[in-house]
Amino acid sequence: MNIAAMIFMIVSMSAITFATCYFFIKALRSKPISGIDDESDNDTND
Amino acid sequence: MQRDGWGSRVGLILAMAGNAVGLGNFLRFPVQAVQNGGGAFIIPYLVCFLLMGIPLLWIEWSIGRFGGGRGHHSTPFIIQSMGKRWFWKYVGVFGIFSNIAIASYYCYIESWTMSYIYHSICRTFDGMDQHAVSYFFSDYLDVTVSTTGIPFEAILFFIVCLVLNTYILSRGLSGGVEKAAKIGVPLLIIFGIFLAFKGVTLKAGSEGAIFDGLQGLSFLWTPEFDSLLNPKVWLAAAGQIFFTLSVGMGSIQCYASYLKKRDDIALNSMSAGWMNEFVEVVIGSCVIIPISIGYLGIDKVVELVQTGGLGLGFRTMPFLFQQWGDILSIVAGVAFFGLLFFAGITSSLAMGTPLMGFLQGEFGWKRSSSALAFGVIILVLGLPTVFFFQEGVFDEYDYWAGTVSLFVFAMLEAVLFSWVFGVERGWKELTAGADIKLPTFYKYILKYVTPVLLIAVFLGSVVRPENDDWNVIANGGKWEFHNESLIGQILHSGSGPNTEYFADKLYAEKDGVIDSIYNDKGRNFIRLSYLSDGKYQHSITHRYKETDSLCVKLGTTVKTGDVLFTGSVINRIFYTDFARVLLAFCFIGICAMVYTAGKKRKREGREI
Repeated sequence: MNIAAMIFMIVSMSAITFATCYFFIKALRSKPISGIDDESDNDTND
Repeated sequence: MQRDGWGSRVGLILAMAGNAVGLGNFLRFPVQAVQNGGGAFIIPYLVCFLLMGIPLLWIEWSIGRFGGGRGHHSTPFIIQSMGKRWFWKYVGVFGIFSNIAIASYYCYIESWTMSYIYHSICRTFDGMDQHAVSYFFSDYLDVTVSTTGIPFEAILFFIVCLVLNTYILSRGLSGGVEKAAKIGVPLLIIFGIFLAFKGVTLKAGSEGAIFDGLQGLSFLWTPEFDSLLNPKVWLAAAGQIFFTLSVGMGSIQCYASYLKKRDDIALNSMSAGWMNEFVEVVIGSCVIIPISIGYLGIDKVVELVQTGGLGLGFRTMPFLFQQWGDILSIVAGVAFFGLLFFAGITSSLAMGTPLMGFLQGEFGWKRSSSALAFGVIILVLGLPTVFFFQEGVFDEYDYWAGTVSLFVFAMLEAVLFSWVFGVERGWKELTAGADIKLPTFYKYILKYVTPVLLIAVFLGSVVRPENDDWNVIANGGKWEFHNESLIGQILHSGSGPNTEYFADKLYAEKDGVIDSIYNDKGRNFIRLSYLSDGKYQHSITHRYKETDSLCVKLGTTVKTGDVLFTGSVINRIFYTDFARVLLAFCFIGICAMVYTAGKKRKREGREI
């Protein structure tokens, strides 16, 4: 495989993989979302 | 009205990522990269992601949560709640229109993947050569022909696909969409990693491969820095970022409208956006290009990508998988079309929610009724793409709804957020409840760079010159519009000599040679191969009836405008305009509903 292509590919893919894992893990470790309103009728109208 | 919402943060991120990850990640991105400088494409691509993609994600998440906080769950009133003036709600119409129009052909592609999973399991492609697999796809698209004895197979799978979408949507966000994303996104990543592993470990001489899979990766990633100076590459990169993140559609705003003010949007949007990039760049680039180059070589793949990723995916991949042996070919077929299916359905579900949010929020419809309405509308609007796929209705939908509408909406919402609502207020909205600190220089990017970039890309698409020769600006030559430019499209520039809806003659659209006249399953075809780069390598196939009279013979050399046959002809331009009229009616219909909803709100004294 062409060396320039390999370097380019590895750097790009590593950066994207790192950013993906970093933000996803950070999101999982942060506060949960509020979810459905407390006053919800729990979808019983349907 | 039923209340809806997200059950968990991971579910929200996976649903948003599933919305973004679509068929384009696997079929469009590698083709765009091959056509635009290989590895050098990734530089403008990532620059556009940082300067246009991320800001647009933030804008749409912020707009959505802002509108949701005021009780709106679809773009017309979400947008108006931010812009205040009455006309903003009609700008928001794009956010329902795009989703409906795109879903009507997107669900059709989704149904192909279901059908191809079925055919992979049934080993329909066993023993077929590459041409047979390619013809199988053509036959599949022709609803008058049954490929497997199932009558109207394409329609049947389309309806099954719509029923599945409607059912999941009727279960609501946490009970339907979120559950589907929690299953679909991890599965598509697993399928993708399996195929990527097979692609990069493909060795010349084993399993029928003639080249290493790495050669395909090398081809895809070899930088061509000259292409960085080509505006066409930048336009293509900006376009790809746009489509891949599903921005400009209205679905992100709708999903985000179910969040509360205290919920984070900055980190969630980054997480979903980067996950999409991972699937597209890391997995997407390792599947179809390495595998197809491993078996067909670079020249053949470059020729095949001219017809786009769909051709490569459905006309070529099933044949290549056959080389992997009995069991692995089934596994690979299910994995490939399975990942496309999950990528597709997680996106099409997102397309259903804006209309549902609108019907539920404005007219008090039940969730199940609004999901059913979505299914029926998609069926009605989608059937022309099924029946007249070969005549160009599908392409027309894709152009106007899947390209133009998205750009227009994104441009307007970027202006709304940064200039009308104000970037300071917008920044405050974006950072409220944020779990990460955002770099403040992005405020300036949001205010100046993103809107300008969007407007530049849009204008570039409007006046794109023929052969993408942008040097005409410097040289001062005559400006001819590209067939795919907005102006070229409006003027039907590529329609050649067949300019009437109904005619008694069909004219050759290019110079070429008649290389085939044949009958297949009772249908008559005439094929014209035309010159490209000095070789006869592309062809146009026309179907003719028994009653038509051929004016050419096998081997006849024809010039553009020569008569191919006489009889009763309905030209492509008719179907093109038919599709445009349908889309226009759809847009006007939604405007009328928004107008009615606005009046209703006024009567009921509900604040916007």
